[in-house]
Amino acid sequence: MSSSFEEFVRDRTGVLLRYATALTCDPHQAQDIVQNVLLRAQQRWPRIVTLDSPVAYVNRMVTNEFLSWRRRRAASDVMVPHGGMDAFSPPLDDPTDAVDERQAVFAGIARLPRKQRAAVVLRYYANRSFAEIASELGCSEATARSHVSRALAALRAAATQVDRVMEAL
Amino acid sequence: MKTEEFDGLLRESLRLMATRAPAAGAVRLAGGNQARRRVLIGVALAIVVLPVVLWVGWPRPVLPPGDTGPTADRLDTPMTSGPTWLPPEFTERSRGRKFDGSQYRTFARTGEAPDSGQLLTFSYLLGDPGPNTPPGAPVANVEVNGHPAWLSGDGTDVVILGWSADSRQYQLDAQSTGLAGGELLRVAESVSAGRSDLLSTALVPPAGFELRDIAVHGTTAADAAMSMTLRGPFTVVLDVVPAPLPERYGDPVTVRGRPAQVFSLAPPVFGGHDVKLFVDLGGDRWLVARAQDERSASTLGPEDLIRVAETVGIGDTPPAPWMGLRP
Repeated sequence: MSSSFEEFVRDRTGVLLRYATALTCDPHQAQDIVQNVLLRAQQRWPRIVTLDSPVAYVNRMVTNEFLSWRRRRAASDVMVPHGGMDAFSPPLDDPTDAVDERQAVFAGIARLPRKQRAAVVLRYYANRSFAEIASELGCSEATARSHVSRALAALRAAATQVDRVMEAL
Repeated sequence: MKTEEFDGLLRESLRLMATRAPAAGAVRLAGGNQARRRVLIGVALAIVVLPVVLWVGWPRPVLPPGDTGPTADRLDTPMTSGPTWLPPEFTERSRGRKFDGSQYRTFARTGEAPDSGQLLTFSYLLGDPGPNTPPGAPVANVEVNGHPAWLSGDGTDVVILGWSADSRQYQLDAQSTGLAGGELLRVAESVSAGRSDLLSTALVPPAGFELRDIAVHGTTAADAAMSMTLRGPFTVVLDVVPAPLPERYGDPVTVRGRPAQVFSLAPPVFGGHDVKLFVDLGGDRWLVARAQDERSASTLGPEDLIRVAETVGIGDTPPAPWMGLRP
């Protein structure tokens, strides 16, 4: 267990950055989120360090920062909202089918509503239980299951579409 | 794809996404003494600066607009199709044109953030582009003003309505909007092909790059941004945004004679490269450029993106009086 804030930062910053990057699909936004969270955690560290799990607490701060990030992100990215005609567009010239599928999943993740995206990242990246996801997102376990289920349905649709295109070629 | 295969693909995709994280050293924190010192300095500055600000007013941005590289004339693209009815609270957020000649307009509820993903996208292709087929199995076959149409989607958050009329293909894509098929049909039936709306931009691609997508987007006319996606030796997404961005920690460079910061992301994904650039254009405008090259043999570096940013034509952002309003 990291006892000092400096030790915590040394041990956990990389993990938090990777988690935030999976959440945001944007390394720079992830950097901003983690930086803001750690600055706030630094101010509250004497209290945080007395908690049962400072790691879980700071991780939840990252999740909450992501969920409340929308106002500050403003118009920094334009790719996400412009997917309306993607179904009509030719497939990108990626080298392998696997990359196509991953790209479809990446694009699908970026299009998910935030709570769904957070739920699916917690489930499939952080390997959390539904109870833990519910606690992290501040919702019921049933709602957490619903978030994951709806996210998976959307991502499956994106991946299936790529499958169909590849089969047709 | 089987459930286990899809789960594996999802885990692998998220793991790869996470590898795009910047190095831990990119996060900079003040030490305890430094933090306290910053607070004291802040208080001292406030004591000195506040009376001055109250007396003479808050200073304007230090960097005025000036000679910031190649310029561009305003380019108006007619948008002849669009809905004339939207569900309550929906307003227009963006207009754009894609490389295949299709045009699109997006709508979202008032107050919804631009990146929330809760969008209604109306798009159309002109000039008898062939049969309009659904991306997946149609959920239902319906009619729009007597024309055959299909409803498709994944049964949860995404509903797509497609139809053809007047030698045009139309598509309404409702993403996490909570709109029912009936409401989509009403939007579709309100579509008029004789509108005289405009997509107004002032961006010119540099030589050697093909324009893939050009758009104007935002939430209100006051925060309208221009964007452009280019395909050349690598892919570039350019944004001209009206607001200052949060402080970043890239390498300082000068681009278009202006202060800028460039980031080269590491580690690369799929053996490719990813570079991002922020240029303060002055006058409360920023150029945000991102270059991506996923070829394993990519040699993409900051200088490549800087070259694009130096040569792209950028004019004044045209007014977008329609933004944030209902049609």
